[in-house]
Amino acid sequence: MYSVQNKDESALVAQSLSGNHHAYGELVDRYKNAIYHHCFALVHNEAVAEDIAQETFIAAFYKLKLYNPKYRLSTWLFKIATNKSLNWLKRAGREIAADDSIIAAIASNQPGPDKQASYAELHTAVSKLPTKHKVVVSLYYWQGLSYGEIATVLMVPIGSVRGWLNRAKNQLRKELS
Amino acid sequence: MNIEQLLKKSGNAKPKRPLSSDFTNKITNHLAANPRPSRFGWLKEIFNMKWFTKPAIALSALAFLVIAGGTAYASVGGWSGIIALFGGQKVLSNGDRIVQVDAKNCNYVSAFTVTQGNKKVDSVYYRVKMGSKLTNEQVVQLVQGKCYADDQAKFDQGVLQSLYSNPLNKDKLVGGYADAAVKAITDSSISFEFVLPVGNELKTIKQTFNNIAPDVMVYQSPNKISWKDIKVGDRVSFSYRASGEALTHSETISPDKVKTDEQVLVFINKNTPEYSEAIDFQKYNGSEFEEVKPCSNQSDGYCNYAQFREAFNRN
Repeated sequence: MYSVQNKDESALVAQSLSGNHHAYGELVDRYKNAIYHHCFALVHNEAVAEDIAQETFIAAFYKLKLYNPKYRLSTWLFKIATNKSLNWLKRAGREIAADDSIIAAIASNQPGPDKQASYAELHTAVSKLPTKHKVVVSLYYWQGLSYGEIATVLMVPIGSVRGWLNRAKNQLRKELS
Repeated sequence: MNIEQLLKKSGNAKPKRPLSSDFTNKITNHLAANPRPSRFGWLKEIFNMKWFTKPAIALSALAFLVIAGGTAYASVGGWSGIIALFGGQKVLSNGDRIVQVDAKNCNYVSAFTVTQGNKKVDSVYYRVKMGSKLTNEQVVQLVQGKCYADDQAKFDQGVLQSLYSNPLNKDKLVGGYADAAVKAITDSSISFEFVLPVGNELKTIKQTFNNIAPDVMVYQSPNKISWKDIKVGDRVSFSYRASGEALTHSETISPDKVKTDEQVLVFINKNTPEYSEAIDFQKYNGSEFEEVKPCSNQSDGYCNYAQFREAFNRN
């Protein structure tokens, strides 16, 4: 029997388009953690991030016909998730900085105590960045998107992405020096 | 401190808890309960999707339309100029055949326009499966129906766009349907029936609206008609806005779950006769015949449409 796990992404997309929810569930499983983490990096609230991730996948399913296969599916999902996160931030009317409990929960690759402290400081500093800088940091460094893909997600020129990333890094250097 | 390396190594701030274990199930269950309007989706999506509440998106879809009252609609509705003609066919080795349909004044087909020398050619190609009873003439007729239906859908969007100027409607137009039969009508109410694909089955949905906006817009596109011109048996497009409690409820995009007593009918458009051909187009599309897409994931697809045209003409 042909297992759904063996199917490539375009086959899963095609099956999802024809209404196969199991195939779509496979796609959700592939990207749910990346989308959740990206949303969390922007909204700093687990419950909200999960809700947004869920809304992202539901919206993506309904709009799957609009997905252009020339881009990676993940890029398109990040685009939807980013827009939804930014909308949530706009509605909430504030920039949200990480609180102590979030910092305490940071455990990236189980680093030693010194590293953990510096990562925590870094994440606190990132949380203070302007939203668009935060978005590009998350997408570029943590989700592995290219400048071009981020430009697609944010619908801005590549130069803007590069500029925001540089400004973000400069601000982080200042903050952490 | 090398900020670049620190960012790369740190990874993002991890949430305190992982995603709920039933995250994927919740999504697939939701999708099963609220199926995407499929099969006829290219028409129905226009009406059923939440983006009706997002004027910016509707605007971008209408970028080429000038919306300035009745004259604009006339400019959209020059539909008698739509012509679809049989352009030729090639029989493939497996018995399927590729049918070329040339069209004039069809926005749908124009999307595939290629230029040959100085001449613009508006053609679409369909692969008709071996054994299909569809004749080439029927394929042409179906394409023409789609041309008409696309124009009507754009017309409907144009009217809806104009409705946003009424503060009562702004951000409240939540849904509607592109092809419904009128089952009953009085001065103050109207009942519709339409068929919606749910999973693998077609489901008949009935909706009755007892709240009709005093300024309800009634068309037989591109002309305005009166409410009394709508008769039982007519096929129509319609749209409604949320009111009362529906304004604070979360929206549903599933037509079989809409609480019509909380909605106000704001627009109705008597469908043109060609509409039925368009519906037939969707009925056959994908089963008896399929479009040769400009860029397809399928192994037998043609990614470069111009190259396909050349190959089609050469062989």
